[in-house]
Amino acid sequence: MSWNEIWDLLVGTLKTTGFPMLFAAGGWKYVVMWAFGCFFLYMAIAKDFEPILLLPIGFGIFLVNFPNTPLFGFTEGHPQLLQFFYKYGIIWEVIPCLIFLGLGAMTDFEPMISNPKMLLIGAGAQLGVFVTFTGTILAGFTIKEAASVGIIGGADGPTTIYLTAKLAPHLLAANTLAAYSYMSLVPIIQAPIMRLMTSDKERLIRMKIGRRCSRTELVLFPLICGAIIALMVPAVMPLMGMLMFGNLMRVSGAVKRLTNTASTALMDIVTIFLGLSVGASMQAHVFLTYKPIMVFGLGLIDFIVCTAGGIITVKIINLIAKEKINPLIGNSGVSALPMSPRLSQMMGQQYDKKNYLLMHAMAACLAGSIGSPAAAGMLLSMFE
Amino acid sequence: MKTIIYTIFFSLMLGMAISPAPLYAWGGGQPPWEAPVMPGGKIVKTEDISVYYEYDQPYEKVLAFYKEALKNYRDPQYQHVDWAKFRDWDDQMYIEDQGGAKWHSIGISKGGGNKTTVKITRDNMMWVFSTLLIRFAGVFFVLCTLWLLLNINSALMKKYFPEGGKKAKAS
Repeated sequence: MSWNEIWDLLVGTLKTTGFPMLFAAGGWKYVVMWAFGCFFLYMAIAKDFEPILLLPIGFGIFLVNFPNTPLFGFTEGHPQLLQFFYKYGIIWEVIPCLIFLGLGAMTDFEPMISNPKMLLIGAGAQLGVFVTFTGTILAGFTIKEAASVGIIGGADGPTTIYLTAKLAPHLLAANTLAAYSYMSLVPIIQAPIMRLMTSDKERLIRMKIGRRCSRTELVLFPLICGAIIALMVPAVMPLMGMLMFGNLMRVSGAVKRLTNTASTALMDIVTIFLGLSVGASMQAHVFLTYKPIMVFGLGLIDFIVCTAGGIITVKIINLIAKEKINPLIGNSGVSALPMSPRLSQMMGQQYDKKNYLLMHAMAACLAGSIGSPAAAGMLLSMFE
Repeated sequence: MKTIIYTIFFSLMLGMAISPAPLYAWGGGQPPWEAPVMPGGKIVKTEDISVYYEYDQPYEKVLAFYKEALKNYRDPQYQHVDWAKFRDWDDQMYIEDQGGAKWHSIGISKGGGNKTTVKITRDNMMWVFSTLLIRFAGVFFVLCTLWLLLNINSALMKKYFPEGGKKAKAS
């Protein structure tokens, strides 16, 4: 073998590695993304901060941000591994719907069914979705991007993913991360707003414990809710249909094995693919632009306005209703389960140790989990 | 320490959202706000947010021009996504911009024989506010309908299956 051949072989081998691109112009972006990935891994592993989601997301970011790795592209027209999960799981909207199936199987809607007035709080808490839409357009986003950023305030991860995948897939990673991050920051973001917007007298309002619902009533709920959503906002029926199906399995009691699988094993499997796919979509050239970075700021405003919207709705209801509602449960109108209801309960007990707001806040939160897809449906109908 | 870190983080996030560098003068600019204009027309009316062009051409010919002019107006990242949405209404073909252009819509009037009017409207906050208000009201409408039906359902349950609707004690 001649020296020329050896040299050619070495250069050829070097070209297949990631080094040439890493040291080429723009190579620094990969390093920034490794830092991002490692930051998420640190938060998940060392700080126990939403580990179920942040660990796969962090590792997904880390994996795809090496040059020449055959993970998120196409080989001879066929999707590579993570691209395969992303394409069929997220872009085809399978994963968010399966998550809703699992959530339905895990969720007890009884607090809301016994006190359907709470549905109004779930609707009022969507205020931020629409307010932020305006702000996002002003910031130079397109209408579709604005709609996908707006939904972050609903604090509903699967709905955010569903809407963003449909309208602005390039913002998927930023929107998903913003939605889940603000959900886990509920005590920090919502508590000051709740204090600011409520008086001492209002915080002391006690609420009656709701009645127990019959099994028939619980079984009828997914059918009624499913039918209404199918007729009024059919665009989100893939999500809501799965949520209601999961819930029907649960309340019917007839398919315990299926309910158990949907709420445990299936949820875990889907979460792994969701996290990896979302993380993988955060490639340097897509993520390190001004729009994804601005999403975090806009999402924060969104979340704040949604929280305020829920509290304002309670105050408006209190002007009319005979039985007053404690406005401390207004924050739970965003569907950040279980953090928001837990915060309502904790803050309520700070002012009155015998005030139990948890189930009422749960009802508002469940209403939010229906309100948020309804808002997404309204936004989607803009583009039909 | 925690408070300081959170304050810095939130100030940074809010700052980024409130003072974005590319904050557009939304809805500004001069007519026709970068929208394609078919040659040979004359401006017959100008309003604050709209401009009207009149053509001595049948509707089909004007429409053909706009279809051609907007055929490549697509999302550069997702080539299958058209940014110009054509809505065929009774009195006009309404073309809506779903991209980031300064114009909001182009309306091509129908039924005028050899006279066709094209109305170009710029992006305007009035449209944004009205569409959002209607959609926000829509969310309330959906959930209020659910509320109403749940109340009816609960009343029926109490009447026909009274054992299921026991009232719990007040706290």
